[in-house]
Amino acid sequence: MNTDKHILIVDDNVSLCRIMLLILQSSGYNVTIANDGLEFLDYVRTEKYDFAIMDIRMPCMDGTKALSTLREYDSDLKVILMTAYPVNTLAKQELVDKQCRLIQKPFDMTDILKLIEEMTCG
Amino acid sequence: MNKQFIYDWTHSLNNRLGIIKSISLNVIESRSNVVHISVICVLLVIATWMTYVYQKGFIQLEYDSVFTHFYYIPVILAAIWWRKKGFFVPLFIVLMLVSSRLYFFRVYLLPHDLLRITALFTVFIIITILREYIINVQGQMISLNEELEQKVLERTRELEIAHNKLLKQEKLVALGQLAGSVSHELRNPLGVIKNTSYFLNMAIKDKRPEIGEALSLLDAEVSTSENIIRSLLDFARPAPSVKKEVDLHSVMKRALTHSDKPANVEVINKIYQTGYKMLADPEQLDQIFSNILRNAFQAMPDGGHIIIADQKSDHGTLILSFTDTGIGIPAENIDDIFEPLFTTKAKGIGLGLAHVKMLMEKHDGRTKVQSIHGQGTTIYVELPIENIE
Repeated sequence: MNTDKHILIVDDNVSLCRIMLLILQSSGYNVTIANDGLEFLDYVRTEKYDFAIMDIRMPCMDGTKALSTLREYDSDLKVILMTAYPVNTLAKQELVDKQCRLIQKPFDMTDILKLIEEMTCG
Repeated sequence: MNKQFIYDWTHSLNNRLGIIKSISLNVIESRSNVVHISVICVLLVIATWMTYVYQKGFIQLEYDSVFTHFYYIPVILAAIWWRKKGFFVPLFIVLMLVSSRLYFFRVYLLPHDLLRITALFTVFIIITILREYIINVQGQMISLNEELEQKVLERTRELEIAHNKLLKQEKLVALGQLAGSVSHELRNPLGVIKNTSYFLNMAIKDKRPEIGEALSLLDAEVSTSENIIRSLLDFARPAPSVKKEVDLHSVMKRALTHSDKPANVEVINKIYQTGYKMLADPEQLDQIFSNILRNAFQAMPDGGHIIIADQKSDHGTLILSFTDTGIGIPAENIDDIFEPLFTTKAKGIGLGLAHVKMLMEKHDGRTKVQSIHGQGTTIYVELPIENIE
């Protein structure tokens, strides 16, 4: 069990956040939910997270903007960006690096769990 | 006997009626000729009478007589109406002249009469030539006019085609915008459904087999929906081509592995193994082949085989053919199969082959189809090859 790992889920879709929370909690993670980019920035300022799974299109502040703001002072937080738009566009591929991956919605939770495992270990 | 008589009688009557009909047609045709002859005769009489009045004697033609010029009018009209056949009019005038000379002067011709005769025939000949020339020019103008009309019709048809194409493109742009937003909105709830199924699978330990089956059905339907959304998005918002040198054989192999080949279909891949190299987007090439293969599989619900073959053309291109033994395409649908949203299948939205055509155009390639309804279909794709090893 990965009880020591704290994951932040950022999405304006409440149902998706809820079901991911249930799955990740069942897999032994400690999970918190934020509903937009601003809320995400508030959370990461006040608490230490190991991982964030964030949607790109969100109200108030979108995922890419939130990520670039975060990177100005924190380059360690590992992030999975989720998007319902095609991931194979060049603009989005530029976001991908060692600390950040892109995943296409609707995704398989097995892939997310594998990716978390891979990114936290590596 | 009676019957034979009636038959013969009707037959002969018919023949006679036919003759009468042709005679009456000739009469109608010659009616204008009669009018022309009458006009020319009247003009000749007028000219003769005017000449006589001026001379105050009985036809005493002098070389300086003004009214003899009136003889040119019937000559000109004869040249216009009858062309060469009108030659007898100046000839008749000459005979009149000679006979009047004989009657009044006991000579054939007076001084300058030869000049008069030459002038008369020269006018006749010039008018005949001019008439021919004018008729020719008129004919040319008519044919030019017809050509012009034909061109206008052609251009109108081209414009109509272009207009329809534009309308179709506008519709596709609208479809693209709609597809983009709808797909995005659908992917979110699909994600939730997929994850819920995952969670239930994980949470329910020792579940009844039918619950397991229901959950896998849910998963399968979610993946079908995902595929529909993907094909819609691929077509409506195609990613730009990133071309690099690719090996055709390996791309084909990859396409074959993920095109969901049914067990009852055999694929015979005859592509030259050591590889053609070409400049292409491997992802898009893969999509082209997979779409064609999927269509072929769907055309063979009872099984069959597909032959994939290659042939080099003379102009630096490679022609790949995908021949299936499926149900074939009815002749009336052949021209539409690459059109977006055209489908005859109960399943599918009709974007597969339209997507193939679009991607082929991005690769400067061409697509062609040959099919015999009930026997099978061959799809040809022609791609430019960079070099052949």
